[in-house]
Amino acid sequence: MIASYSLVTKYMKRTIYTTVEQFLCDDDFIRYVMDCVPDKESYWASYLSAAPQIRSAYLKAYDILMHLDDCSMLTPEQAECLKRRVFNTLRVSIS
Amino acid sequence: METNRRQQVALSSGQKCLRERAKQLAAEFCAGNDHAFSELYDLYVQSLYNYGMKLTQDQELLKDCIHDVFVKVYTKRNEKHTINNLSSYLLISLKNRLLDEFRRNTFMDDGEVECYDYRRASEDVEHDYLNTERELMQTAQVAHLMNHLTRRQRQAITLYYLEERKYDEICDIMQMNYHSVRNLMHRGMLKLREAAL
Repeated sequence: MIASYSLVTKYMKRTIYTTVEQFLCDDDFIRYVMDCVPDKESYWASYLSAAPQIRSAYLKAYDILMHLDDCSMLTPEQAECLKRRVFNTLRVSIS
Repeated sequence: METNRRQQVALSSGQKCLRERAKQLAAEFCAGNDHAFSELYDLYVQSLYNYGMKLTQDQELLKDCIHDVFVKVYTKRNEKHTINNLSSYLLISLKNRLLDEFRRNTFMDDGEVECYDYRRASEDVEHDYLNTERELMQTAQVAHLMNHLTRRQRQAITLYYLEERKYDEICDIMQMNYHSVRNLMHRGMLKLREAAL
C-alpha cells in the first residue's frame, strides 16, 4: 500500500517527457539505468504505460546511457591532457 | 519493457566485469590510493565525455566541467554515497555542472540579445532621446534611494539586481550565509520601498 502510494505521488511529480534530453537529465532515470536498480523497473514501466507516446524517447535515452563507453570521442592525448589538469588542480588545492 | 530486459541481459557480461573493477578501484581510491583514482579516471572519462556531448556542443566547456567533476569526486571520496554508485554519481554531477553553466550563459546571452533588438528597433531618434533621458532620471532616482541603505544592504542589492548574481555567489562574495543575505536583501528592499513613497 505504502509502496504504491509513493509510486503515485512520485509519478505525479514527474511531467511527461517528450525529448531524449529530458530523460538524460533526470537523476532518477540516470540512477535507474546506471546503477541497475531493479526495484525501480515497475515505476518506469508504469510511467511509460501512462504515456505511451514517450516510448521512443525513453528507449533512445536508455540506449545512450547503456552504451556510453562504446566509442571514444576524446583522443587519448586529450584524455591524458585533461587528466594532468585534474591532478594539477588537486596538487595545488591540497598543498 | 521487453527491449530493456533484452538490453540488460546482453550487457551483463562485459558491463559486469567493468562494474566489478570499478568497485574495486573505488575501494582502493577511498583508502587513499591515488593510482586507483587515475585508473578510475581512465575508466570513466570517455563515458562522461560522450554523455556530455549529448547535452552540449561546446567541447571546451565540457572538458572544464569534467575537470570540475573529477576534482569534486576526489575531495568527496570519504562520503559513502559518492563511491557506492560512482557511475551515476559522476553523470549526475556532470549534468548539474553543465546546467549551472547553461544558466549562467543564458543570463549573459539574454543581455546581448536585448541590446541588439533595442538598437534595431530604435529608428525614431526623438523616441530614443526621450528614452535615454528617462533612463538617466531613473538611474539618478535609484542612486538617490540607494543612499538610504547601509553599505552591506547596498552591496547585496547591487549584486543581486544589477549584476544578476545568484545567491550562492553573493554568499561567497560577502562571506555570509544564505539566511543572512536574504535578511539583508529583505530589509534593504523594505527600506527602498519606504524611501520611494
